[in-house]
Amino acid sequence: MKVEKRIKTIVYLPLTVAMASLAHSLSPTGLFFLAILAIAFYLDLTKEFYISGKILTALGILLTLFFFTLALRTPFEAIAYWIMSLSIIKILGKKAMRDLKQIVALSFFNFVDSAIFHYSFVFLIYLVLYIVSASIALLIITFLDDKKETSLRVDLLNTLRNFGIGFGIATTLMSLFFFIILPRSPYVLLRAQIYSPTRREGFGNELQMGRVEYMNRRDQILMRVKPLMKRHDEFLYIRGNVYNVYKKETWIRDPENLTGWNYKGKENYKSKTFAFQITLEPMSTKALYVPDYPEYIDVRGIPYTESWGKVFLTRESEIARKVQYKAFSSSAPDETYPKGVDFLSVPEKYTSLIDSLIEKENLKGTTPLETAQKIKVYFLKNFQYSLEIAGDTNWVDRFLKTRKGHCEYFATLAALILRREGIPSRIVAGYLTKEWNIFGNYFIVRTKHAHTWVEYYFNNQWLSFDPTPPFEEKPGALSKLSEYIDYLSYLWTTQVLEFSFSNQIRIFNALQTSMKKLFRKNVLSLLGYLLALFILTAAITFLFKRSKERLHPATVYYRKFEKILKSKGYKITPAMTSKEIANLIISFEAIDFLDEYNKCRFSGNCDLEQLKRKFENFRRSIS
Amino acid sequence: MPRKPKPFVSYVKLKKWGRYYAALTLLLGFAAVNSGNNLLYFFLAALLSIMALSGFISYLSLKSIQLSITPPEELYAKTINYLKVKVKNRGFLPLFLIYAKKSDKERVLFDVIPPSGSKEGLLPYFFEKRGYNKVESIFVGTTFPLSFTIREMYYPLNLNLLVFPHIHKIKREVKVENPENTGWGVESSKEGAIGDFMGLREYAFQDKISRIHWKKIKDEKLYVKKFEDENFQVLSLDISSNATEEEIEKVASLAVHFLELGHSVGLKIDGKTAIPPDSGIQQKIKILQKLALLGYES
Repeated sequence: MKVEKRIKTIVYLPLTVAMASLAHSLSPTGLFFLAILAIAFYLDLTKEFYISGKILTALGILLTLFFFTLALRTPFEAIAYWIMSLSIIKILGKKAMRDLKQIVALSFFNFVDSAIFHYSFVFLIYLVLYIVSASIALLIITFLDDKKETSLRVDLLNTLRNFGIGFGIATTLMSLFFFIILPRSPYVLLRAQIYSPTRREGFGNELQMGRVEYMNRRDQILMRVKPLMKRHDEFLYIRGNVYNVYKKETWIRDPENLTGWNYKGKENYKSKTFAFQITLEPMSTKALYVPDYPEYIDVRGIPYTESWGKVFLTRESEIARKVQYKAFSSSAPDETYPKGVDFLSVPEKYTSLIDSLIEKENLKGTTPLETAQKIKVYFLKNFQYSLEIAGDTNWVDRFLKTRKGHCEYFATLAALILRREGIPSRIVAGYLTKEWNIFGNYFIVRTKHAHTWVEYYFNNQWLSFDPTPPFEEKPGALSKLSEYIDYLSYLWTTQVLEFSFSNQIRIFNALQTSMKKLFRKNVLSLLGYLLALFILTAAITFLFKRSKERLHPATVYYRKFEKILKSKGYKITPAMTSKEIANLIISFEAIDFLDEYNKCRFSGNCDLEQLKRKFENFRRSIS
Repeated sequence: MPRKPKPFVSYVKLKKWGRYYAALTLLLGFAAVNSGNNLLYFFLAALLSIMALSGFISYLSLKSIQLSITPPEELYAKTINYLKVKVKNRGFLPLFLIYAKKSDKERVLFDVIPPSGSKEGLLPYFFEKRGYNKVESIFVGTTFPLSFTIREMYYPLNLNLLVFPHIHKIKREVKVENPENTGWGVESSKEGAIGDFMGLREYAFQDKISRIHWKKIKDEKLYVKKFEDENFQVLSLDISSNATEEEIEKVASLAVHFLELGHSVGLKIDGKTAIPPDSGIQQKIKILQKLALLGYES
């Protein structure tokens, strides 16, 4: 490849990485821009085809106007597409030295923009690639800039490339240090959320029959729940939303917000709470999930409300970014019965059917607790868990006939039976997970873990009751490797994305404590440490200096000469002068070589080629 | 008055793209702090690392330099002279884009110097005046690794160089009014030696190689045979000790001109013989040295 082409390819590399990063986070539309960039590269590098500057300027103006109008609706995306378009336009035009610099600058803007959209740890890979490629590009531009030439020798280009790779790697490692120490404010003025075009599905204010069945068939990871206490159950019920009105085969939360579920706040639950750290993916719904029974949450940057049913709802329309928070739960059920909220209505079309079922199967208990137990036993004995039933308007009939169904049907029917018996009840939607990551010690919650259960009001508290018969979850395809990759992703979120001022304080405090510990030990051990440190430094310095002391090139030949003589049985001692050696072996070639060596080594007039020739003569003569 | 820089202490100057880089870094820092986006923080950390690392590399580069300067035998005032600059890399990393300079125009650039290797280059150097000129230092610098900054260092040399007067080119034939050897030889258009052998003289630029006396090579000097019928003249240039710069330059130019033609030239100051007439390169240097210091000697 020609040097000019190689230079161009190297300069285009950071732009490619930056645009790939941006396109990745904005796929599939972003991939379209990436494809056009690939075509532009092809035209430039292979065909040397360029579009006239005037046409490109006009195109640039038109695209700017277009994206400006688009920005009124989706500003972040519009800016990203605009920058990508300008980059492509730049590649399509003819380029001078200044343009090469501008291309690297554009790659910078593309990459910064991609940082707004990314939240996956793939960003780290892009970042390393970008730093390395941009370092090489900048080194080459620096060289061209200073030499005022547009061509470089291939060997020099290779040297610069290797240097650039080393520079990039060193930069990446140093970035970790800067990342930790850069000042962070606990009070962020304009908390811009990491914009994610893709949201996971959760539980909104309505739960249509069949919805959970649909979710059960999907395998996306929604959250990771790390218990912060030593003992915890093997499974976890995680509450999302609570519904009270059932109509048109849909559970509805009505009203959506009604504060005051006897929320006691952090202080009152210190002694008897279970703590969890939850890392939630961006969700299209408002619920902030908490293991049952929720008490309070500690979340920053997202305003929320504690609503009826022990539910936490964001005040925003959705959870637009990955969020990490601490959740606290207890064994205490909800004690609040919100006034004016309907927990008893049953759709008329089901009343007779349910009443006859209660009669037929003797589901009526003397207390609400007994009724709930009877329902549970009835389901357990007569029904099977299955995902094979699709939800439709006649689902109760079918459910009772086939005696197969999943949590939605069990919970709904149980709630309706309880209501017909005059027991206030409601549906809780959330997740039931048993999936445990052994590397990170956390529960993984996937869409397929979606679950519904029932709460009924008895003795001034909402008691939880899961009428769904036990079911065996299909073992996930999660191998140890993918489990480890998930752990890395978790680390990325908890240690990088959520790294905050308090983390910094914790690190500095730990450092301070370890320093104090070191100084608290007796003086002798401290002196020992210092002495060891001194010896280590001295040894490293000595070795480093020794490695720098390079042999005179003539001495290299002399050493070889000595080695040959020793191999031939001559006794050479370090004290012997070259003349003595010459007298010992009586060889014209040896004397000739020694003369040349002395001249080269001590007269300051060294002809290494001559020395080499004479050494070769000697070697030939002696062999 | 600008403060004199400290020797071997390097300093950094921001270039235009460096200012852009700094501005973008600040902007990104502002965005990161006020948005709490840790990915922006990560990228900001990378930009700062690039800045710190490039500063460190350029610092190491300059620290690894050992520089020596060899001036040419003849240095002339008001003319671009070329000093031989040798840069040795004492470090373990290759050095890139190292330059030595007196000013932005008087600069020599070394593209790459391998570890423990060295490179030579010619540094254009302009001397304003004749006589002893002190070259106290030169600046050594690099734009490597990134063209955002220039790191420069004041490299002390403490050289005291004798600079000869400026030499003007003499295009016209100069008429000699009172040559000291009037009647010496006649013009000859023939090649070779005609007439009586008069001895040897030092080789001059105008001499033909065929006239070199190969048997007499002394002190690495070349000699040519001198014959009676050669048109060489013995000249003495007279100059006042209070001569102006222009007069000194003219006399120096004449001396060089005649010596290059092979004539014997001497120098008189205020009518007294300062340098007796002779020919050759050594004579030229003697005369130019005398003229370089004329007026400066007590």
